[in-house]
Amino acid sequence: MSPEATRRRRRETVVHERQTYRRRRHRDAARLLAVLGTVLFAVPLLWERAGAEGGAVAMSSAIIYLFSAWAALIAISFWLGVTARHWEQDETGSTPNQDAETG
Amino acid sequence: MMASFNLLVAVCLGYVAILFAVAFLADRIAATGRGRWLRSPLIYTLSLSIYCTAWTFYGAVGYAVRSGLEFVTIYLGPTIVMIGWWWGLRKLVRVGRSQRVTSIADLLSSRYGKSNTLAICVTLLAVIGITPYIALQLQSITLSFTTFSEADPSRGWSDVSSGLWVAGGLAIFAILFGTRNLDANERHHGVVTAIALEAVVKLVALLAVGIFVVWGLAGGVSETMARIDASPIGEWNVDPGRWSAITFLAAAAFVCLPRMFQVMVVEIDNERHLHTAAWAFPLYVFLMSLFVVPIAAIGLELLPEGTNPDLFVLTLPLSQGREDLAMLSFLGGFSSATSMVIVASMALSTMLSNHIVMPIWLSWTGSGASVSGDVRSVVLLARRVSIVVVLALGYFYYMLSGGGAGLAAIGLISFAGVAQMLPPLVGGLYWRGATRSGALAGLAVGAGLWLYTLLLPGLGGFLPEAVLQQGPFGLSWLRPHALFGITGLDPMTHAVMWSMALNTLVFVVVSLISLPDPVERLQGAQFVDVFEHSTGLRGWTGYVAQSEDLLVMAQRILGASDAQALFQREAKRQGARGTLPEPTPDFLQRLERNLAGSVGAAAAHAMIAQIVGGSSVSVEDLLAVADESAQMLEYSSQLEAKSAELSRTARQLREANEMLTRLSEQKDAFLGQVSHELRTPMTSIRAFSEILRDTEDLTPAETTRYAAIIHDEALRLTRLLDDLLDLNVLESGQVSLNMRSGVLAQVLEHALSAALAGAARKMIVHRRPETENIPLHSDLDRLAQVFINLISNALKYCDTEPPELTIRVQSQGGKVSVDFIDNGSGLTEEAQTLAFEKFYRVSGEKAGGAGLGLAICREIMQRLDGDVTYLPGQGGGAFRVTLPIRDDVKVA
Repeated sequence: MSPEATRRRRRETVVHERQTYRRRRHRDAARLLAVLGTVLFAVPLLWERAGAEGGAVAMSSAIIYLFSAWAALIAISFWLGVTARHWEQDETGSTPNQDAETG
Repeated sequence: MMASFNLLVAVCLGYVAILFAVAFLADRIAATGRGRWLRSPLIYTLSLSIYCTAWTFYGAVGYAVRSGLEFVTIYLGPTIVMIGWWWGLRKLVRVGRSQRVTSIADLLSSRYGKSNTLAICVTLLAVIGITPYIALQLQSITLSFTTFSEADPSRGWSDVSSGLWVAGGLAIFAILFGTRNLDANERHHGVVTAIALEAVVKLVALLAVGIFVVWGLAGGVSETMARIDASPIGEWNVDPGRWSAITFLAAAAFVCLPRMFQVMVVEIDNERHLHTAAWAFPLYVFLMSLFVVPIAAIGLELLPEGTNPDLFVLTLPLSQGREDLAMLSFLGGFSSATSMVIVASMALSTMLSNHIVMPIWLSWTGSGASVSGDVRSVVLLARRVSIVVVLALGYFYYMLSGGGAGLAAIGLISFAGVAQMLPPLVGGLYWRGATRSGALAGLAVGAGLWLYTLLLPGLGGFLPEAVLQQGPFGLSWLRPHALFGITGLDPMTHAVMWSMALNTLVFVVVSLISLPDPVERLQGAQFVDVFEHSTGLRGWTGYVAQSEDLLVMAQRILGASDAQALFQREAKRQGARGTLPEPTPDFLQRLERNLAGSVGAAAAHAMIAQIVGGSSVSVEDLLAVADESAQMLEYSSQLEAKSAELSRTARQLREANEMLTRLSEQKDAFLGQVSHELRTPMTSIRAFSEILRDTEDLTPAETTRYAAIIHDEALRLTRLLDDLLDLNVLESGQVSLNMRSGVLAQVLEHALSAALAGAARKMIVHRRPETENIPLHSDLDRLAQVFINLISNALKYCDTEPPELTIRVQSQGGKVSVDFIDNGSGLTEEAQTLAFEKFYRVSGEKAGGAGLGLAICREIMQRLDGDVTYLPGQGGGAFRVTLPIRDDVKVA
């Protein structure tokens, strides 16, 4: 069957097994993590800088925020990485190649 | 302090020795196929840490002193890229693996229709961008040496000479371990393992200094925080534009830097390593930056004013009398610099040799694919020279710039340069409409703007002050730091914004209006839909290709034995006899990818195209391009494949038919010849016996002479009949073999002396006796008969004066092959197909045999579980005898 036909058949299916559903949500999470990271790291753009009227954000608070956000991202990425084996496999059977073809 | 400096040099040399040992061992272990840990995700993650160069090791603290937390953006960008691997890196790595790319220039060239122009542009951009960066590393090593030598006033110390030593040593390391082989996948286990070790050293060093500062000097976390807030960098003071611009730059550079591409895409062993690297690499850079601000703040507090903040990591422990810690930190910085320079010079040299040196060399030597000489050694030499050139450029840049200046500035300029490759890269991976013209135009605009707004003003002295202030020719809207009159932006933000925006814009617009050629569209589909077409559908149609020409070319690039093994495997896969496979599209594609590993995709494509005669787009390819009408096309592609197969079969049938016709003609000719051969001796036997019978007064001498003639002619008849009988017996399988044990060398010796004894011509024989000591269990007399036949054939038919014969013995996989190669003109293609057929004679009457020798040889060898084949592409007539080796046989 051509890839196109396979895909079309897949598109027709709306209700999936629970496992397939979970797998897809994992993949969504993997995609959204980069967005979350961008947003978290963009927060400092809103902070008051040195010389502002209301007083700037202290360096210690800045450090605590940035490094906590960073650690949280790493933790989520760790969880996704450890479970990746179970969800990265596509229904079409396209799996990452285990090793280089030799020769 | 005297001892301290000497000790430093000793530790440094010892450390380098350890690195050499580790790289050497890792290469050895990888070569034996053991050492799974060499390919573990941990090593992969650690090798990614060459992202952290001396610039980040020493420079981050200086950066923090100057601009507070802004330094962290250098790490935040790559963190976002890594945790978003599912979107980006996964695809990049898959494409890199399936296309066997060797560098980022190779990837871009491959995506845009295997264009070498694009590869050259990318390579030049990379060299211009990376050279200052290499200079920066050399500078940081010499600076850290200087720091120690200043504390040790009795030493005479010259920055310049130390820079030269360092550059030389790094070049040697990169050459030794980076250009050892031309692996099809361009992996270098030795180098990767060594830089993984360096990654550990630099992390441990920075953590040790950090822990010492926080708990040893400041007295705990909360005190440290309080002292940070009280320091000059105690308030948030980051320009929002720079914050976003540099985060973006770092993310872009993380993917586009040639050295990062090398370790991330080229050296990866398994896509699953990304699962680990996705969290482990962010963790690594997290730890690398954790203590930067504390070190900066405490350094500002404790060290005298005017101390270079870029070296706080070194001077802070020194000022506290902790020389051991300073030493460790020195090793950390040394590691950061060396690993970066080694990998960067390796990556750049691959690009330089594959895309600039090799194409020039190939066009210079004329006929491209069929040039004489070993391309393999030229490629290696080109890489080695390129490494030296890259490091020499870095060194000269360092000399010219004279050091000084904040470390950070040069690093960011470099980043901005390589980031220009991002639009064509991302566009190439996600947008089928991206074209080569678009990529070239975008790159040109982006790189031009980068040069004009960032690199040249940054170098100082290259652009006159007037141009900086008023713009060229007084056009104020062209001022390098305020293009189109937009003032008030930080120069870095300004340059990044304009170069990236216009680069992308031009790339998109030109792509939209230009038309890609078929190969480009094909590659575009393969890249964008890599997860659907991972197997790769683009093919060659090689009906006109000459397998032998391909073999000659492949031997020059891959080396003789590798190429022959590859061709034999392919022939076996196709079920063909002998060593030459049919040039099917499948085979040609595999061959091209193999060659691409050695000389790059564009060159490999060009070389095959030269032989096969132009690139071709098969129906399968169109299938990939036009996915919409897939089904219809698939049907016709099956038809196409079937008709191709049919025409191949028909061709084979036609060949078989031709051969039969020729054979039948030969048989007729042979029968005529046998009659002739039988009649000539018969006639003389009859004539002389009649003389003997009828003549009365013969002298005894005459009687003897006539009887001798009759005897000789009878012997000739017997020999001819013996040969016919022999063949008959062999063919009917009734032969009884006299199996004995012996050594190959003895059989060869016997055969040579038998064949050369009393020969009219002298022949020079080249042998390598040390390879011939192979035990055999076989019918040694029959084997000798085969050898004698091949040797006398060489003696008879070799048309060069003086004739030379090379006997080459190789044993592999339970088989021994004995090649007999002469220096004559070899067999014509027609003769190759017929040589083993009965009654076939190369040159008619000339040599006087009955044309049965090789047919008998083949029958004998098949009875002995071996074979004898013609070996094309050796520059002369060449036959290969293969025999099984019996392990259980011991040499007596």
